[in-house]
Amino acid sequence: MDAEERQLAREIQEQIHQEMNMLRTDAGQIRHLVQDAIVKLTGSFNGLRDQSNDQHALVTSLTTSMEGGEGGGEGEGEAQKRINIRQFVSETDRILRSFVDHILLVSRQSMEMVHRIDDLSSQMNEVVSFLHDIDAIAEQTNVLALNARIVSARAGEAGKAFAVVADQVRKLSKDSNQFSKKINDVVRRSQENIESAKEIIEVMASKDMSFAIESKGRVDEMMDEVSKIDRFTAATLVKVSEITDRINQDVGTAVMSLQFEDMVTQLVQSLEKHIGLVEQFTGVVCCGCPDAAQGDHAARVAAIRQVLQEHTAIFAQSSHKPVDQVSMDEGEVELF
Amino acid sequence: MSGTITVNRHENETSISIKGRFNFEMHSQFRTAYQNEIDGSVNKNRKFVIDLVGTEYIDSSALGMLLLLREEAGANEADIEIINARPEIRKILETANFQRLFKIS
Amino acid sequence: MLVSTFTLGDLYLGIEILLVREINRSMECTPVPGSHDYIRGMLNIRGRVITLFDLRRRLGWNDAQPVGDGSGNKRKQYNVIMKTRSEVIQINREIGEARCPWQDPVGLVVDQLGDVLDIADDNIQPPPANLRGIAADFVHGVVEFERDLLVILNVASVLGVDPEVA
Repeated sequence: MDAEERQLAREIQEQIHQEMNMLRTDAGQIRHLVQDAIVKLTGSFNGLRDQSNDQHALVTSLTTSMEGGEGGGEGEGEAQKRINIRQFVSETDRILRSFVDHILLVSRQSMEMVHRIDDLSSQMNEVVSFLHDIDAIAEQTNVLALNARIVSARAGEAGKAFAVVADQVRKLSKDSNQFSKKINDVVRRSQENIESAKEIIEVMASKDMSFAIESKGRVDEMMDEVSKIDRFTAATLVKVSEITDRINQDVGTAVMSLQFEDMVTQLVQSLEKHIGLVEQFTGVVCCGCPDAAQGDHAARVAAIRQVLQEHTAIFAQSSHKPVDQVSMDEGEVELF
Repeated sequence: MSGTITVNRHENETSISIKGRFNFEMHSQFRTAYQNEIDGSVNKNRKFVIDLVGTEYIDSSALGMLLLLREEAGANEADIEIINARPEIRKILETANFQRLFKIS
Repeated sequence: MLVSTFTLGDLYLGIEILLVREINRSMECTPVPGSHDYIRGMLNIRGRVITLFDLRRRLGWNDAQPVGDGSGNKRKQYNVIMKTRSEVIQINREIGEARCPWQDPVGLVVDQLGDVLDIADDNIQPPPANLRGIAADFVHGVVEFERDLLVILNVASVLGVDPEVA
């Protein structure tokens, strides 16, 4: 081998060495890029799962607090403090009911009072009719006394004492008349008071009931609405729960899938190793075999063949692929 | 403005029919309609039928009168049936929870 | 003179008590067909048949019934039953012959009863010219009081019986 050939061989070896280095650098870069991306992707997916779980918990606690039910978890105390719509509506219903009951009680008692007052009024009328009887008696007494006076006048002086008695009796009958007039006056004023008391009671007892029906109708409507909302909320909650489960499942699959990093690393390592082997081999072929360099052609061929045989043996040892998979779908996750 | 009351008496049953407005002004008429039956009734198990077929309006004082009738006719032992109420009046009776105290049909 | 007083509408009237037999409440009487309108009818008291004079009509008033007290009831009236001439003469011949010419039992229907007054003859004056509601012929005399004017009836002329004739 002359000097020119050796020069050529060195240049070829140098060129190969440079290209191999570039391959090595590229492989290293691929490994770093993949590692980097996988770390970030894993973080993102885990974050997605956590946030989806948070979202689910929030929706659950929101609906629990709306129902105001027990077992609301951490936020229980706070949830119970908040007014929920169902309680509000049923409280309104209860208040309305007790209001109606109250009106009924007042009306019933008022009517009872009116009955008592009517009884009182008719008793007053009895008093008036008794007064008429007393007046009639007084009047008869008056006529009797007057007739006695007439008889006594006929007796002249002898009838004087009798006349005095007759006059006294007439005076008594007149007094009786005065008293009965006074009593009549009091009874009449009492009747007037009774009438105005009845007017007051009438106002108290008479309430239009249409407001109660309208309010009741509105409360019933609200109750229906609340039930509808409850059903809708429950259904939505189930859906949210399902979606969260699916997200969790998908994230799990994605995170596991990201373990292809190992394969990439192994492949790149294998690539780097083979680059080393190729470099070594070309170096020996081009400039190596110093023992044969000075020899004749046959000796050089023999030396190179010797090198080829050694290299083939090394290659055979390390030729099996570190990863057999071609795609991520293949073999599923159990492989790792 | 106010209504009229007609009373029909059968053997053991008094039917009180109210036409027009059943309000405070009816209290005397209504009381007269049942009072003799209660005061003079030897048999306590007298039945009262309140016929509202011609009743156009009812207010709380009328409800009060019905409650009073129930009480005077023996409270829980009273046998009172309210019949022929038109829908809006029936609604008032139900809002007042009368179905617990009276037979409404 | 003892005078029994009564009222007729706004008039304050009196009759000498010796001429009065009795006073009673106005009651149903039997009308007399074809008689004067001031004859209210015949009344039977304890077997005696009495002719009742409606004093309002006799004085020529249009309203035969007194105005009620607003209660709708007819106001009660009273009958003043007179003694007969013979009855009065039994007690006091002089008065009976002078002032009681009627022989039959008669009565006057008046409105309200008043007191019995003792009036001195000096206080009795002739009727004034402006006396309203009653003809001067029917008046025996008047007595002035602070508020009222008492008109003492000439019963004989009220009954339409001339004392001279009797």
